[in-house]
Amino acid sequence: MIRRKTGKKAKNVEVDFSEAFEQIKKTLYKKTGDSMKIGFESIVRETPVKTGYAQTSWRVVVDGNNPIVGIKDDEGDYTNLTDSVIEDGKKIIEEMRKKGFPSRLVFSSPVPYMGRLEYGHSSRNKFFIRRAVTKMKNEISGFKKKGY
Amino acid sequence: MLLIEREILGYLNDNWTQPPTIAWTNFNVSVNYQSDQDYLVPFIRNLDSVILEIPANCGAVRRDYAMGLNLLLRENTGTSSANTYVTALLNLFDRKEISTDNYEYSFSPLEVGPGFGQGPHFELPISIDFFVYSS
Repeated sequence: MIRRKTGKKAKNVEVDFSEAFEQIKKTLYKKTGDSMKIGFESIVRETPVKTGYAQTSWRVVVDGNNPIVGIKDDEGDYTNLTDSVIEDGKKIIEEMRKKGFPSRLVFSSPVPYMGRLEYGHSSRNKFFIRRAVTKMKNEISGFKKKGY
Repeated sequence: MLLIEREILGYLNDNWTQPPTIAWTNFNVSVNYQSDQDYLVPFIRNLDSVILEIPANCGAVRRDYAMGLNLLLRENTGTSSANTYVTALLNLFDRKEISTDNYEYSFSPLEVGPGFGQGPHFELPISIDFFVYSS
């Protein structure tokens, strides 16, 4: 909001923009946070699934920390963990948004064959990461240009 | 498939003169991969499509794509032939503006990823992004 203040006895008038900038910042953080949440969910859900280990290995990590993921059990079925991985990631994005994104935030997976799933010619969903990143990039770039 | 995708794949098909056979496995053509043959495996994925103008029904659209041009190389043959093939792909697509009958394509820099074993071949992932404006 842009506030107009009139001084005592109407001697002076001020137009204060500080709250306007605060509101713009909040809106941009909100939009960007929402876009990141959708992007994270898209990356997780579109990761090709065999046991679900790769899909559920995605983490949102802050300040260059390594993602913590359990060792793969070849007989295991990880597909029931997908929703909780997404929710945990979204919670971290939301916490960072409330603080004004003070730290470096990364979507990360330690799975060594993630590159093959993304780039391999036999992968069932090639370029799933690039697709989510492009969508986020276009959205966030749109917010920056339009301011909303 | 959209005409945008068909035309740029046609451009690749018309201009690829190197020994690797183009394997159209991602376009409903079955290929019986031979271990003594190199292959180029193209695939295209639409990354995003954005309407740029209002009213939407007649506004311009920007479409972003990623194109994979993976090389399947005979195992244990080193990288000298791969370098030749990559140079050919660079000459064809890297940062190029390419016109076909109906579209103009703007290409980003070509990227080559770390290779890995894939059956009887060594797979070298190569990719490039491009965008097209269309009505």
